[in-house]
Amino acid sequence: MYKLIIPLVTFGLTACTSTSDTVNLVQCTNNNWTDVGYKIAKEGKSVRNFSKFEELCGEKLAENAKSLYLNGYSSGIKEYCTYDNGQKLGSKGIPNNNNCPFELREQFDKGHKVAALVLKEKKAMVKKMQEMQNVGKKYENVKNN
Amino acid sequence: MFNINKNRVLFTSVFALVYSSYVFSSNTSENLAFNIKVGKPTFVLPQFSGPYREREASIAPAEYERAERLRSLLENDNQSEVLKELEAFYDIELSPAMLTLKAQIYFSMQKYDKAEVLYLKVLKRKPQLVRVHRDLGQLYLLKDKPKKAQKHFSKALSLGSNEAIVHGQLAYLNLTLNSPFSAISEYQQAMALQPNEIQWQQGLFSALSQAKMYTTAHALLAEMLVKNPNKIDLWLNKAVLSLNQNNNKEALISLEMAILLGDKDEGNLKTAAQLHLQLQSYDRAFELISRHIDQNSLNTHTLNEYLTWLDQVEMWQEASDLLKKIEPKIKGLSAKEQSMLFVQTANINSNRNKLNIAEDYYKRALDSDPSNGDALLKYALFLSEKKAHIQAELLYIRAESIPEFEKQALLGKAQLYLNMQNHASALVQLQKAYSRYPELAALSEQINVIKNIIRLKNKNQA
Repeated sequence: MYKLIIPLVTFGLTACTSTSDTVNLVQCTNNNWTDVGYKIAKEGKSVRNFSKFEELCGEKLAENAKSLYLNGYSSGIKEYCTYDNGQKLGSKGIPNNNNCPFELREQFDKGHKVAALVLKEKKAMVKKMQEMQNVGKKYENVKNN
Repeated sequence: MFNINKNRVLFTSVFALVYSSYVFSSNTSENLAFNIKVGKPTFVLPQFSGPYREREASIAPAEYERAERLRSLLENDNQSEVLKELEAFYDIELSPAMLTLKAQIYFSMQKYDKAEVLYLKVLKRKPQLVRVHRDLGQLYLLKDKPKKAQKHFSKALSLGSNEAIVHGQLAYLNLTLNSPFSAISEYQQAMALQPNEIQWQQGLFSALSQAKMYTTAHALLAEMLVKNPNKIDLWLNKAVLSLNQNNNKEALISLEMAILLGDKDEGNLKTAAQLHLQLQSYDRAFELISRHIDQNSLNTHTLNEYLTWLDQVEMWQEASDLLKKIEPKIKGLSAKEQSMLFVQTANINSNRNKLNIAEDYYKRALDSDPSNGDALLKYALFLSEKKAHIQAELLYIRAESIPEFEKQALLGKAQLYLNMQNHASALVQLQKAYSRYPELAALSEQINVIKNIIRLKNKNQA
């Protein structure tokens, strides 16, 4: 009896927490694989995330799943790998995971590098200001004493 | 109308593709039936050349090490190992340069469908890659999709490719798919880049000939002949060109040159003989005919043609000699073929006033093939001249029942009745012929003349 209940519980949980790169067994055959590929690409994740689905679904994976997934991924990655997006991620301090195709990588990397540099300088400036404030406080304390 | 073996001559080797070491060649092009031979391939692995250049697929710096490893594998002819390594990646993970290399390997392994899919994928990512357009054009030529090939060759040129092979291939496609005028400039470009390449010269010649630019074609051919005076095809091309310009004498000189150099094409020998007969160099004509009959298995249709020509120029002795020459072979022929040759023998003997022998042969012809319309008509005429009118009439009636001989039989019968002064019967035959064959417009006049004769006759009798 236990053996039967445990897998059911696990599937239930998987379904509830399903995100772009997770999938339940029902979805192996009925999933919109183009959408899955597109979403994964838009999150800047590697195309190899598909291997997770292959492992999970095994033979239940729809026959055309991979080609649909790759179509979606190709469209998504084109939208993801732009100068602006690189800059956006760089400014948030999110690391560049180099998942952009080679021909799109140059622009994305440039944006990311510029933003990362700006962020670094900002941080350095904030640190400097904090140090100056600390020095100022110390001076005030010495003066009052 | 003379027919020099056009398939072999005019378009010979118009089309030849040489792509790196892919070698494609074709002997015929008139109906787009390509015979393409694929040789040992070489692979173009691009050098690292810094940032991407727009129209070339360069490998990315991150792939430099892998590229070096693959290069050494390819140098050792280890394509499958390279493919194994490249197939371990998702296509999107490879640079367009690496993806192109993968497509090239599929191409060389004759996995054309896979190669096509990959090339198209590369172009989706980098639509301006000249090399890929060129490769894809060649792939489509191999897959017998000339319109798609034309599209990609044009694209390669519009993106700045200036390779003779691309110009030449596009020229060939323009020539076969569009008009010869659209091919001329491309062939000229190819020739400008590879002036000694015979394919482009022949292609340009072919385009010029088809565009009826004979003077230019002649000039080009003269230049080609200076460089290759022993090339049979060039002499044959010259003969075709001269025939197109109605210069039969010039055509014959070129044709003789080709024969002298060893051309043994049956059609060309036949044309040369026909031209000699027309230009009244009978001895040489007979020599060629004899040579043709000697060197080939007996083709009764051709032999019949020769005998008819010799008959037309009254070379009955020569025709008789020819028939004697092939006599031992006659027994092996079908009854129909034997009948055809017996008719010719009868005609020759009739013309040489050997009437008994002639009659004997006419009878043998009809014994061999009772439905030989030609034999019926000729024997009927022969008998009519011998005043054996009843027998002749019977033969004409038999010939009339064969659709393709009906017209001649009706006219022959009308003539027979006129010879017999039987105007009323002649009129019936002519009216029948006129009603069934309206193209015989001149008959209406003759019908009126005969009607007048009958009227006059009736008046005199009254």
